[in-house]
Amino acid sequence: MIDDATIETGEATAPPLVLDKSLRLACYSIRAVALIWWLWSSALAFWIWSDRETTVGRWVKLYDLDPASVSAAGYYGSTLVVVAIAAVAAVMVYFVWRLTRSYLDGRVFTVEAAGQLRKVALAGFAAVAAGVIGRPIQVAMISTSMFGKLPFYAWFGPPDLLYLVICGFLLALSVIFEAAAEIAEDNAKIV
Amino acid sequence: MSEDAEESFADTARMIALNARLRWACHAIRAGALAWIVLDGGVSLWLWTDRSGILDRLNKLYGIDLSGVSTPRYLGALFMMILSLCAAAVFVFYLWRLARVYLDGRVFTLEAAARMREMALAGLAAALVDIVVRPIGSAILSVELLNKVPFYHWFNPTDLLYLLISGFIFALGTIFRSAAKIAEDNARIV
Repeated sequence: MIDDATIETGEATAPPLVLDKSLRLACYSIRAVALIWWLWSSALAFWIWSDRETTVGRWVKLYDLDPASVSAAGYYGSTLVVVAIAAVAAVMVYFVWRLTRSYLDGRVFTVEAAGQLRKVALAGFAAVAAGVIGRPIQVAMISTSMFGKLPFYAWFGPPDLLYLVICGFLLALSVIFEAAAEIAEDNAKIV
Repeated sequence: MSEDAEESFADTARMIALNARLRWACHAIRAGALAWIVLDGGVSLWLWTDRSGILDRLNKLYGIDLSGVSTPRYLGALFMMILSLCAAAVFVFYLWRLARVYLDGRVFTLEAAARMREMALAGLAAALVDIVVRPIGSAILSVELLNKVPFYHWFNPTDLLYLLISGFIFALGTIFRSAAKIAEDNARIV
């Protein structure tokens, strides 16, 4: 999958790795899909929140919310939290782009690339935390009467746990990749 | 590989295998994945055991009276949900296998890279199964639901994120495989 079986050693003079066509295509696809995901999820969230009547109407149906209790300031404040969560998710996409840029430039088994993978994982953790923290803030802004009515998994649901597991996995991989880079450096020095 | 290089590689691999933080991370990932599938399955089954509650919720949201849904239809929709859970459980199984390989110290091996790719494919399959069974399960309950439920319920950003994560891990697995090959090549050449 990698055409040139040479390893960049940081200080050493070895040429960078050149990813083969399929891996380059994979990197470009990951970049494109990450961007599409962020645009789509943000646009969908804004589209849903821009229709105040329907959104509040859903809570009225499901949780017997009194629509009169929802102030404009509370609703738009809650919308701002959606924007903040989307901003944190954008940081994660940015780090995915940086990491794939490194791969495309041939900096694969380097401490730098491992560090960037770690940043993707940490940004993912931050995005999950933003969602988990942001949700009760949103509800508090809309109406505190909903606190007792929302099911427990609305606060911390299975997807949140899955994201944490995946971010933990990527963090562990970054440690392994860092060690791989160190091995490459050691081998380059010894060989 | 020269004796020194071989020892260096082995020492580093051993160091990673025994790295307390990495071992702790592997155990945490396994526990987290298990907790996730238990929580996901538990919440889903708990919701579906309350038949009137779930049908009433659909009625409130989409204005469709589903109180007359027959038991076979309800069980059919429940089966679709269980099918999706099974696919998710397969993903967890592969994640456990990969973490086991790491815990056993087989980090920079073709086997570990293959396990990572298998895990990514299992994740991809689980995401696709979920996307496919969602409308089927709803259609089993009532075809009318297909028209009333908003489009983003059938394929939403979360689905795309799962596909993205699976693709990303598959690419990392492929890179990892190259690392393992390079290590093997070095062992032969040096």
